[in-house]
Amino acid sequence: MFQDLTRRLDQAMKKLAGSERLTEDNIKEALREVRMALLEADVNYAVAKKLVSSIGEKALGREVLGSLTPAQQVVKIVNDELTAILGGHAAELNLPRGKDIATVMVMGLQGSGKTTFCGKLALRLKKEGRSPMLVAADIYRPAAIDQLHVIGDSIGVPVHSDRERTNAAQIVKLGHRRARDNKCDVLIVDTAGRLHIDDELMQELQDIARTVPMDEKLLVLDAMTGQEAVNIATVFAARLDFDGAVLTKLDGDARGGAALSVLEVTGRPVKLCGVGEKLEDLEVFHPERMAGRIIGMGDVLTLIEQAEEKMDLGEAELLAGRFAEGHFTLEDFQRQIRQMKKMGPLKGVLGMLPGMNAGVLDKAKVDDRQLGQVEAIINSMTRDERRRPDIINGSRRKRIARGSGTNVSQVNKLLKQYRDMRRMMKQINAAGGLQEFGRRVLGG
Amino acid sequence: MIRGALSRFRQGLKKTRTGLVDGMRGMFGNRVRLDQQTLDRIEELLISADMGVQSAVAITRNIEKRLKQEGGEATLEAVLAVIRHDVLEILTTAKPKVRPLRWDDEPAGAKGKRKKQGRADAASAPEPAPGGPRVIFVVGVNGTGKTTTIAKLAYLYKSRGQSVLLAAGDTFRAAAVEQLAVWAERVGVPCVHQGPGADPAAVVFDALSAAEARGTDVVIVDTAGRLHTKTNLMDELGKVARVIRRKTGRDPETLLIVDANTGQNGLAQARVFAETVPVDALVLTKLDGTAKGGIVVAIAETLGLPVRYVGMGETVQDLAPFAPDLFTDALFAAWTDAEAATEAE
Repeated sequence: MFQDLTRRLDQAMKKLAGSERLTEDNIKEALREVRMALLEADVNYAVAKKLVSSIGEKALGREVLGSLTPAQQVVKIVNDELTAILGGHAAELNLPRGKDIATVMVMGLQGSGKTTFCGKLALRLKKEGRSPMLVAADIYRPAAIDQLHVIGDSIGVPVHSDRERTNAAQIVKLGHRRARDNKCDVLIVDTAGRLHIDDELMQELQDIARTVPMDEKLLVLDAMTGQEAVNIATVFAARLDFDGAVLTKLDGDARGGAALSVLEVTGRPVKLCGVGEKLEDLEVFHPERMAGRIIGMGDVLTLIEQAEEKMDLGEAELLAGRFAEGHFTLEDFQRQIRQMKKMGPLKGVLGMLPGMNAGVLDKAKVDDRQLGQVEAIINSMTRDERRRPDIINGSRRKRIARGSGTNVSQVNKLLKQYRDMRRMMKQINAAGGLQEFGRRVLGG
Repeated sequence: MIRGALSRFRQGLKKTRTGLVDGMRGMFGNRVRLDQQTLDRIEELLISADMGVQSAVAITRNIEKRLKQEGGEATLEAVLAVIRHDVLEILTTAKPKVRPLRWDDEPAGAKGKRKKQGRADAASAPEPAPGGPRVIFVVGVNGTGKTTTIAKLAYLYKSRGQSVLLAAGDTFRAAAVEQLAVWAERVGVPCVHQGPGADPAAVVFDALSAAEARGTDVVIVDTAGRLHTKTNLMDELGKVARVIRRKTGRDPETLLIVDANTGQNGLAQARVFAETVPVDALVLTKLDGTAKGGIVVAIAETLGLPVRYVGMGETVQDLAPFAPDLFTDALFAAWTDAEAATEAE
């Protein structure tokens, strides 16, 4: 649905081809596209505005490097700028070990994922050798206490709750005492959410933090939050002086511009992020990875770097030449697979492409083993067979299947794919090259 | 009842209303002059309501036209009138650009196969009781307020004198069943559930059987929240919808719950859900804060999905029918003294 920024900029900067310098005139259109891309990613409009003007300043007067198109040049500046903002703040949780009980307060709006995050954090701390205790201080939402108990039981972490009391601060205080009795060393407090920021909620949270001083006050924010993220973060910063944010539901396809807004407006870092439904699915937030996600360009720069570093350019050109001539043998195919494997796991490579994300990849069911299988089949052929696959008869197929640990139907499938590919290439060449072929296919 | 709902609706949107109009007045005063800066600012204001870049750009273009007609300057009221008109038009008349999936729209290739299977099903499954219960199927991503909305819907139908049954189809999230059961008790309606981890399709089947046996009017089906990017979970949702269809002989009335805090990702959510289950309408939740819920404008424009209800508070009464004109007014109309007076009544 979204066009990635590079493509949009290419469009906007077409006129620019051949320009040697980025000037006020020729980047105007591009900056407008950058602004739109940021807004579509839910970056707050004021933050987007500020960013665009600083990007404009940086871009102005830059020489267009020989290796990059003007559009790529601007994208690089945008990427650098975002990474600078996001990357300057990478931060760890501050849970002192020497102290008898470290305390964490988890807060946020309703439905942002506080309770689930509490469970994830408890599990993580437990794995790190600490002994956490959860406190159910959400006394309003039906079954919120049950939810925390179910989570606590499933990971073997004690939960303090009190169904009689209606004073959240009191419950937390008693929980703190019980944690000491149980020799727990981290207290994680799950607080009540509200539909929106209201005074009553802020007061209750302040009361809790006053009764039991907190080492970490974490604001849980849904990655899908829109422009409202700034309001939420600003109020929580002013009233509760939170230490860091947690971005949840990052396993979806939200661009997560809200993270950038929080950083810019409050200066508080995003510390952790939720990346799945299971309690293990909690990760340290990698700010530098967010930049590409926000502008929807994937990590193309890394991909290009990797390609340059690991691919043998001479070989790639040779393969392209053979492809164009229509002499594409299984030997060439084998080389191609080897080149691809050098770039790392397929899913990782594809994940760096624009428009790709976990969701798309899950759908495509990318599997490196398939590639491995194909390679094994080709490796089990003789050199002659690779060069002239037409000689592969029934008994050769059986031998190849045995040698590669596959079966004859898999060998057949590969041979069919190869034949299809070769036929297509012949058609392309007959049609007058790739461009002409594309025109015919699309035009017809 | 309706009057009460409308006044709650107004109340819920009050913060939104003052924010935007005051913002505009603060920026432009009472007269708006045509220049690029003005247009950028108007566009920003529209975007700050999460209306989406596409809608914002289109509306800003209309304002530019209007300002040109007026000789490069217009009153703030005139500008707001343009915005109001455009948003209202999107919300009430926009034609879907992507037609959401209906069961009749099987892809051409699958048609034959599906038909055959349909016949086999019809032969083996008993004919659904004519009439049967009205089934409302509630779907959405995690944390949008599905369970609370179900409680509010149950209260609404019950107060209209209809019998209601809830189906606890969220068998995944910890204590989701308990949460629904607590609401069912508060509202005073039965709730059919199984243990955690049960097959949601089986729970729904049970609930529908119970509803048929009891002659229940309305069955409301809860589902586990799921991100629209999780293919397997979306497939599961499709399965539950098929079970309902098979059992009742028709598509469930499907409501997609959208959180008013949601940004542009709401569009992707709505698209994928509508491609998976036959979504009829949206319910916009959590609208009583400063969140503007403008994403429903983008969804209406892009997918043509209407909003049916608005959720505004934490009690079961806090659900109002969506009124496009009120919503639009609340988003953008000038906050005149006359209106403030009606509000005070």
